[in-house]
Amino acid sequence: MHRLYTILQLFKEYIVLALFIFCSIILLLSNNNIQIQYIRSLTVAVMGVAENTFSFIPNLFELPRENRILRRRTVELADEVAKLREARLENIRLRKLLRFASTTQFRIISAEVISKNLHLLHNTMVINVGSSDSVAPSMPVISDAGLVGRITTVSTNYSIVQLMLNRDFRASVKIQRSRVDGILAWQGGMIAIIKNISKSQDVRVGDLVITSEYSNTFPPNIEVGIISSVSDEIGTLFKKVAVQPSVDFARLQEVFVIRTTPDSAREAIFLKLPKE
Amino acid sequence: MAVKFLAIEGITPDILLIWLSYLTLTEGQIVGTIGGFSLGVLFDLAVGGFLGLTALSKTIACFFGGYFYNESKTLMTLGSFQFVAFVFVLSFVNNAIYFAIFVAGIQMHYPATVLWYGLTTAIYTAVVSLLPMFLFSRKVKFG
Repeated sequence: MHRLYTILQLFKEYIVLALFIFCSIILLLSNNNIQIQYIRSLTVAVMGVAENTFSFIPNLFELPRENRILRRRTVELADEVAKLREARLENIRLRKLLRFASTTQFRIISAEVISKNLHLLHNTMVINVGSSDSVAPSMPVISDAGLVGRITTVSTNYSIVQLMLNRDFRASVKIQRSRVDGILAWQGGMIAIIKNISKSQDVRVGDLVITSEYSNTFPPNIEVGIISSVSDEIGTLFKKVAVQPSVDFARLQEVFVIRTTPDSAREAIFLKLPKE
Repeated sequence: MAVKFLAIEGITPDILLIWLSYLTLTEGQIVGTIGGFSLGVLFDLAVGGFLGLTALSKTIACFFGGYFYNESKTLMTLGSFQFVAFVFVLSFVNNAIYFAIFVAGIQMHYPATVLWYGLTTAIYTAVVSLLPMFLFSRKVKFG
């Protein structure tokens, strides 16, 4: 107490000065003119710089709580980022499909792939459109990249698509450059083959394969794939032509069903053709 | 009103400061500081301007003036040109602090303002303080 009194006695002038300066500042701050507003903004700026300078000093008592909050927030943000990434990719995909849908000549029904099998002999996929959407069996299914397959079974809201990569799948195709016709089939893997192309036919690697006008199921000029290899089959008169499908079946998520049905009159006349 | 009557080109002498200088030289630093604050607040309330600004500037000016307090030489200082110089310095310090806050955030150049208003007011105040200085010098001469 005596020590405190000694200190007070020693610095009484400064204590009085500090006290009156403090009172003056209180009175000054009671004003609301331009000068005080400017000084207030200046003070905030200086405080901001000071806080920023000393922000590296952590508050030890707050750290555990801050860590918990930040960890939870990190998990939430990571989830949000994943969702946004997915949405962005979906957006890109759908814009591409929309562009295709708006420019295509066909009457199409868009559909999403619900499930698919790519590792069986009879590969199929299920899409989320059915008879309620005017889908019927034998309708072709395409994507913006090219031919996918055809509808085989239809329910009210779902349909089964026979993929190009299916042992039972057949399509009449044509090589766009040389107009050579053949039958597209699948014998395993991710490659299709074209049958019935004789060794004398002009077929080269890199040629584009499209559906031909001879097919009653598929409209002509739908892209099928690119010829990836050409070789002569030993012991036959035909070439072995491998086709890399244009469609990436592993990443297929949206497709289009072409609203077309086989020409029954044409089918009938074919039935009347003499059988060999 | 009397001060405005003495105005030259808008510059008026700070009569209050002359009296505070006298108070500081005769009574010391603490009394001077208290006097500076009290009269400054009263002045602000009377004038109705920037409340607290005169109080602040005069508090600091009188505190600074308190360093020149010498009990044994009070009358001699009051009756000499030292008093005029003292008033000049205190007035300049008072104006420097006053205008430092007054020009904040408005389109006035602080050095120019202090030079024109601050220095000229200090000079004029010092000139006016010659009158009490002469009065005190007679007192010193004739007892």
